Amino acid sequence: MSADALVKIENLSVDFSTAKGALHVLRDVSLSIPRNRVVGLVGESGSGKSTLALALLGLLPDNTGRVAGRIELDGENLLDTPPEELQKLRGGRIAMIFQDPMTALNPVFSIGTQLVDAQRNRHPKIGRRELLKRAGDMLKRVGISNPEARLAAYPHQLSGGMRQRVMIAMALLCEPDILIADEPTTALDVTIEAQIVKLIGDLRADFSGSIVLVSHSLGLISELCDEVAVMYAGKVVESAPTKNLFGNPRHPYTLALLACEIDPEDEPGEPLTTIKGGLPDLIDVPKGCIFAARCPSRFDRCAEEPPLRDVEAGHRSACWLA
Amino acid sequence: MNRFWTEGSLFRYGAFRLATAVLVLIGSMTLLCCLTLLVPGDPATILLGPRATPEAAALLREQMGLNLPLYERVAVFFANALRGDLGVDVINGRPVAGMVFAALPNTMLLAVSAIGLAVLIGIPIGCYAAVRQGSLLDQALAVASVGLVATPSYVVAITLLYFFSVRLGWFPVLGAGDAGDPLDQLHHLVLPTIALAVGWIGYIARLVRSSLLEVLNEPYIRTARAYGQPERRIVMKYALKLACIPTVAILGVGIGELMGGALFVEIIFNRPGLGSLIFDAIRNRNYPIVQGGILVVVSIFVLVNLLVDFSYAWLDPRVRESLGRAGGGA
Amino acid sequence: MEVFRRIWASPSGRLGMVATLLVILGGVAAPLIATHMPNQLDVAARLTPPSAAHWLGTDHLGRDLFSRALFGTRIAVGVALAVTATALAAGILLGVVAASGPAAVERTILAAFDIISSFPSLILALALVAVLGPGLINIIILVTIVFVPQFGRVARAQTLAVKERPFIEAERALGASSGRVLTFHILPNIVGPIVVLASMNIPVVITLEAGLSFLGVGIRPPLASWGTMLFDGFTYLEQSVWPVLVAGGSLTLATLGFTLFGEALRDALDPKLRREP
Repeated sequence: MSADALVKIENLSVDFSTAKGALHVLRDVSLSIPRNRVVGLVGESGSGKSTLALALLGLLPDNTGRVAGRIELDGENLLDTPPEELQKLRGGRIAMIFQDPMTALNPVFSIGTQLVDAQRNRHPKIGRRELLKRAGDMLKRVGISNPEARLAAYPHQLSGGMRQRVMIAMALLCEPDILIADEPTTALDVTIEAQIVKLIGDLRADFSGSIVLVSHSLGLISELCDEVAVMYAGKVVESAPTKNLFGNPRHPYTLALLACEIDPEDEPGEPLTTIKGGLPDLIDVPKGCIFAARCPSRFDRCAEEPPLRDVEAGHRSACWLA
Repeated sequence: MNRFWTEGSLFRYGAFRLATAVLVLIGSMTLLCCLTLLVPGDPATILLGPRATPEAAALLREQMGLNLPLYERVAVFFANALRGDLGVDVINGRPVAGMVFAALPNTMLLAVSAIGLAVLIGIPIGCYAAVRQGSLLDQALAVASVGLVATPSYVVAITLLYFFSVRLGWFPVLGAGDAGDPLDQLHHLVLPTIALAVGWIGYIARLVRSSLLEVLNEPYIRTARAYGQPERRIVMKYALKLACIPTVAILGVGIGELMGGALFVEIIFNRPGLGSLIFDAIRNRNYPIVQGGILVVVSIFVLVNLLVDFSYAWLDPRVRESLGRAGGGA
Repeated sequence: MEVFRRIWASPSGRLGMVATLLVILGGVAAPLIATHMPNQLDVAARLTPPSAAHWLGTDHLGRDLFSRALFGTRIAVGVALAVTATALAAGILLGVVAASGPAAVERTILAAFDIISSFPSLILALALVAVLGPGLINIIILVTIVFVPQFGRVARAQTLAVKERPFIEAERALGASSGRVLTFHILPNIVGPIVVLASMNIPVVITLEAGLSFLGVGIRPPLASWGTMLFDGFTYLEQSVWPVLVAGGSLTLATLGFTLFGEALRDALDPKLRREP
């Protein structure tokens, strides 16, 4: 863990209450978000990465049960912080870009109004006109032409790509210390996705805070992130600087994920690689290594859960074989 | 002109809706004129019933243009109506328009008060019930609203009349109060307004509650929370505007029901108004008044629906794109 | 049957079912359980409160309120069923024709629907009654007219939805006749929403018929409608509350019961609410 961490997540566990019992979505997750870095959270659906993002924001859903552990920001545990103060942090020090721009914007208010309101936490004293002007400037920066027209427009009048740019602008306007992007390109067409990825890459240079990028796309992660944490079924199984992770993966799950990527060099007709099996039951969590059931390299020691430990400098893995 | 006529502008939407409304009005007038065709035999005699003298029948026939072909009749009716001439009544020969427009303000007062009361009480109750789900008020609302909505308005009116006027004597039983005394008029207005509004309060409250709950679960509300908007602002500004849209929609249709209910209330509380006028006219077989009165009621209904559509489009910009064709379209 | 079980499961649905059954049974069994003939006069016992002789009291002509209420049920529910069934049939017919016929026909039918719905229901009923005159048959006819557009629109919408589906095209290509398509595909799809609409419609018809009778332009004596009973009672309200209570109570029981039942039915049939955990 780097010494200059902005956010330290320590032993975070989150349960959701369901009809069948407590769903252990996150179990003993430890991660740190260094200053000025882009950290990627990669994993398949159900890995808990989105829940981790929401936990950072303090916006866990209503059916959340037990929450244990610490999320430290400047020494304060966000999990213990009273709701009123958490509310001030959101849209101020922490900002989030949601997955689906179609539904993330309020249909009956203009873009301008929503961008102005989003800034109120960060700049409570600045007046509406000035906030609107800043919004217009930011729209230009994220590549939206004719910002004045867009400010007056309503979400349904914009295309998907433009809406996502608006969401990015909204987050940047808050000048946050931590920007969380939850699957920012998943809901977009591939061509638009490429544009947004380029945009994020360009903006990153001027952005002085940390970014947490949550995605299931390894390509996106490899292109934009400095460090990556791989999550599986509610645990972090490997974390490392990006080059190290992709160049020298030290966990069977990471290896499997990389193998699943479609290789343009493959012959047509070659069967796609998959990971056999399915996600484990998170209500009745099996003992031992969580990936063992699907792991091609498992052996008897895997009945005991491997801890997440350093295997090299800055490179952690939760596998006995690492 | 071009600036106004852009896609999705309120103006263009309004123009189309207005055209539709006029067409519907003409259709209604046609229907009213057609009704006399439903009667076998000589409409004039039938309409006048037992009091049909040959002179009265001839007068009515001339009056209503029963000798003219249908389209001419509608045209004449329409033209006259635009000029404010709704014919004369068969008994005393007084102009119908005068009688109708004298009675109209009373009915409008009642209707507007009832809607106002229902909205004023219903929306906050619905809001509260949504934000404090499962509370005592929420449960009471669930039970009471169904009962109040299902019960016929005249039953409610008579019940209120019985308890508060006959038994308790808190409110007067008859009439609209002295013309010169606003306070007395208000006193007379209370029970009838409550009688009309009561079902609506429950309905609106439930509607606001369920749409508010739906809206509060939407992703864009989560975005607002993610940007640290205080919960109060989220409910009052972001969620409520959206949640009121279904309420506005039903108000348009509801006005028709309300007018029906107003008719009963006027009769039960013996208030002057359009309802009493039309009702007495039916009993006295005074058809021109019936026709004129109903035409005015329908016009108001169409007008209110137009206003409702308008505010609907103002509240929800997505609606402005669709132009609401008459007849529904494919 | 699953549906009924689900309705029974909710407290409001249970209440609705019980009330509805009470009302229907009351009407059906009226000749058997009524203590008097509904029009039997007993001038000596005018406007009396409940007693051993008259379980719910008497009206201003000494007629037994309990018996009148029971026979009134037959009118209320009978008219409601007759109207709903007729409006249903006419509505489905017109709706399906509108959806599958030539465009001009569709436009005419829809225009007719729009015009009829542009009148508030009571006002339209009054306009029709002004021309047709009161009486049982006339009331059934004119109230039916008021409600046809609702059913017609639903039938049309469902027909349009089904028509567009690819398997219909496939069937036609295989030579299936329109009649076959209609019976096996379109009608089953209409049944669901229409049944719910019809059940929600019954209390509205009861209210409308009783309202017209209340105003004196509905069912005429000697037939005993709750509406006329209510009006008679209202006239003599200061002398005895019982006629109003019995008539109003019967109306409330019936409308409440059918409304609760209809809502529970709608919830039970709604696939969206059948979420499995």
